Amino acid sequence: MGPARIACLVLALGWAAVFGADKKQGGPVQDLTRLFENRLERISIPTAEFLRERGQVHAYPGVTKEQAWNSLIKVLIQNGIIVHSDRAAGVMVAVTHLVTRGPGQEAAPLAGDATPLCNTLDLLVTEEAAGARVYLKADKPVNRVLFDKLSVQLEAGSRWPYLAPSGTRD
Amino acid sequence: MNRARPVLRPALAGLILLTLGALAAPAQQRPPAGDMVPLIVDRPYPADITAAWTAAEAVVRDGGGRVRMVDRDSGLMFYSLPAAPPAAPVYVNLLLEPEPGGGTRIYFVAHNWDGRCLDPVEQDFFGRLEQRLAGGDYGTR
Repeated sequence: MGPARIACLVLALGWAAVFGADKKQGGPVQDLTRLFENRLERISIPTAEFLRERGQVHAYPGVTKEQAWNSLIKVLIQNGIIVHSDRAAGVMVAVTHLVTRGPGQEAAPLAGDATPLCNTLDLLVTEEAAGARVYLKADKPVNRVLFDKLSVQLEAGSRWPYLAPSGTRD
Repeated sequence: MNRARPVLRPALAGLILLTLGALAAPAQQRPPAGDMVPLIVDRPYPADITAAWTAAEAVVRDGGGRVRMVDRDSGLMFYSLPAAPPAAPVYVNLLLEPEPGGGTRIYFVAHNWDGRCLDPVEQDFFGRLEQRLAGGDYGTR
């Protein structure tokens, strides 16, 4: 192999090392670009019936739908972006960073795509006789994290209404 | 080998030129591997929620924002601002709430990949909003 070929090889390898590495580093760009510029256009909005049938549910006794809805908005904008919201239907879709790996969730594919705002949450808020119910369907497991955050937000609304007015306002 | 050289020399020169050109070109927006940085600001305004909403919507549209979702009943809006290199696209949730004592509280939550240029975006939004509200120009709708 002559010096010219070696030089070509070195240049090609250097080229791949310098500019190929950017693709790996740009994982979040690719994910977010895909999410926001492409997928967001076709983001599927679940129906209330679908979420009621398939979603994980958590009850909040003594809490109105209004309180739960307002507090949920606060929780979600602090942990991601709300991309769809329909108060009348009680359906909300948010893209968040909330992801967990709890017991029995070891197989969750987090290693390769645990990028910021990597989880999509579909939510339904209803009001029953005993109080509000929140139904959650997530792309990736969030365990109880969201429900706990919502509890804290509702509690903050009742204890410190000047800090979280949405929790107490009907 | 000698036959190959006339072919290799232009290829070598081409590679060198491509490499130099790419290195000299302005760097593309590339996020760090770290978290996406949100900016959360909330401010109270004396305007009622209808006036504040109309003004906020006008400010967003005038500022080149692409409104992607509006839930007027919840006082919630989602819009994006296009990338303006070196700044990445910015994604914003606006939440407007009536204050218990009157007036409106506006939450501005912006995300992009690295937090760069979020402060100017927020300052621009609130600056133009305050101009509108102070001037009584609440938009056309």
